[in-house]
Amino acid sequence: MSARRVWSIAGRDLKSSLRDVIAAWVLVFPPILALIARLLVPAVGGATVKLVATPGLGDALVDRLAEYAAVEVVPDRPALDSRVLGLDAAVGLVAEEGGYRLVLEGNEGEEAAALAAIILADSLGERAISIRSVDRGRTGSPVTGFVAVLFAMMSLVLAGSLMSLSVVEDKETGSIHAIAVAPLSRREYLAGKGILGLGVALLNVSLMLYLIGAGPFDPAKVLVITLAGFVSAALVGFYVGAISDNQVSAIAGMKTGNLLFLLVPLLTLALPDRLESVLYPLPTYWTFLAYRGVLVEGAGWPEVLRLTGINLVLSLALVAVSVRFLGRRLSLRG
Amino acid sequence: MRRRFWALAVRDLKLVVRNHHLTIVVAVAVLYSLLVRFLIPADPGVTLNLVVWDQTGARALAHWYGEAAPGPVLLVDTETAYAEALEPGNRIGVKVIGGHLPEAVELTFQGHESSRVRRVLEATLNAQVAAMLRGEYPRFPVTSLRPPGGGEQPPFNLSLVPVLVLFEAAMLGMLLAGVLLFAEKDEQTLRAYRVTPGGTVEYLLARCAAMGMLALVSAGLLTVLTIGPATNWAGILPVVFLGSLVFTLVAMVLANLFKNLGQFYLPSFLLMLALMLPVITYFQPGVSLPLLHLLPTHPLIYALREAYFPTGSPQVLSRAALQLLATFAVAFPLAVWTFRRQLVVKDV
Repeated sequence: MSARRVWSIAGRDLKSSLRDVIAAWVLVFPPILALIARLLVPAVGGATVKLVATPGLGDALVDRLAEYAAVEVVPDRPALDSRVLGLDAAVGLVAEEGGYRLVLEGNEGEEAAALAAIILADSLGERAISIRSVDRGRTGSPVTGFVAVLFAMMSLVLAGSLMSLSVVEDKETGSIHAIAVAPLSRREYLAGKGILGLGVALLNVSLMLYLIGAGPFDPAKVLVITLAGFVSAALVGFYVGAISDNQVSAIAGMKTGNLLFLLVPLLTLALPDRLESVLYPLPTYWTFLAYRGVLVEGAGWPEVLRLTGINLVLSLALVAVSVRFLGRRLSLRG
Repeated sequence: MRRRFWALAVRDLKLVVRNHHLTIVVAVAVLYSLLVRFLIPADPGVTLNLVVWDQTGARALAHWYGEAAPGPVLLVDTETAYAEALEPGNRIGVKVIGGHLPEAVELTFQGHESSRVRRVLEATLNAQVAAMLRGEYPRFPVTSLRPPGGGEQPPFNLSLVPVLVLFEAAMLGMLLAGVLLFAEKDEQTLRAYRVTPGGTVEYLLARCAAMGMLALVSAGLLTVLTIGPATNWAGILPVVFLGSLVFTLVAMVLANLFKNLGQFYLPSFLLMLALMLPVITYFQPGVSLPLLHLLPTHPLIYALREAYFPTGSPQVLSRAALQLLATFAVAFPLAVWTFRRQLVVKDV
């Protein structure tokens, strides 16, 4: 395999991406997503319950309530009722003779009403016990960490998708026939595509993690996990490219491939522990665990290498199983 | 005109079937249904991770947490175990100090918790201690604005169905409509169409109708396989169809800004992610993000929830329909304008 020819394929794809502004989007995409996440994560991580109050509650109490939850002050009781009846769950608080009353829509969960009562009681009265707080001084939020993990996985998926589109574009434009008469082997062609995909994955993962404020984490560990995780993402990309003759069918393939890739981390979060073993054969499960280990749980090198090793073994086994099929479908010379 | 409209819609559906998109729609709906029915639990059991170290003689709070409190509570009894248990970044320590009975509580936070979360945890702990001592939680009189008899909160796995229907059915056209457009551009079909008596309006409406029908297939399958056939079809299907029309038009507007599918793919992906943001408030009702209310997916997801799990608020459905119609009224002329400008005037 000639490194020069591999780089020439990668360079050609890069030029094509630059010409089609895809490269610009690849660069713009992470900052936009990270910006949205940076805006949303504090709101999600700090969310408790939404309260609606009328001025009758008094400024002092409203200020105390605002220490616990987002409080919206509306002019009068009809406005409060209307707000409580809104689409999202919000609990109304009104002062009445001899005390206070909670106003509910009636379809909130029990937790929202109970929490509102606890907050109101704590704002009003003395505590049953003295409570003091100490702080361990950690700044990395687990919510940010989890979002960073999902973004890193998404970056791998995007890199795989771009590789699929690139292969399909070669098929559609007929470039693959021109390449076929060049002194270039199938391995060199695929390696060239893979190098560009890997570059996109590394760039996107780095940018996303930096911009979202993930961490503190060891970039070397993230690099190792991304390199191992990219193998399965690239495999999905090549599969989609191999089975699709045009971009319309490529999108169908990408939808399935990306769904299966991204569903695994979401399932890991949703499944009870006893069922998690059903995900063991999937490389993306181990990629997710490794990213989560580094970005959320501060895992050390032994754990990272263990998870990455399992991931790599599974991914390479899948590659070995796929070689014949991909070789047939991505043959440059028919 | 009606004949041309149907011919265009049928042609779109044929393209969808030929390129395996219908197969994918069915396969994805079946996959999601299997996950919802058999793998995702009805109760995810997501609660606060507390580490409790009760140093008092009676260990009343430890007993109370051990027996009465739900969720993951880790009971420890040495300083080393307490410190080790607090290592994972999502745990909060509760150290109960006193002689025989609790006299004070020291909460150990990791540092990233917001001040509101801290205050609420203090309040909850105080209420729990008060409940332990006095036997009841704080209570206030309650006025319920809806008559009793509304539906109960759905289990967690079924509460995912409206989200899946929104993403997989209503927003199906977001990518697919653009894909069909670029395929036509590549195959010069649009140039051929320009010399026919067919107009832009019927072209766009036919695309919307085809995507809408596909959305109904997806929503129908997902619903039958998860909730069952006996459900509020009169509420679900119109909302899904209307949502699909709107998102298909949005996709057509966006697609007309790009030359090829490669360029269109990432922005459409980004737009879909942005449109899915109301899912945050759907699952985390305490999140206050008023800007999300402007997205057409915000009323849509609540309308789908109301359609699947009625709480006696039918106006949620009509409100969603109104907001979707308003979006349609803006998106349709915009789609016609961009389509004519890009594909007819600029001939690209």
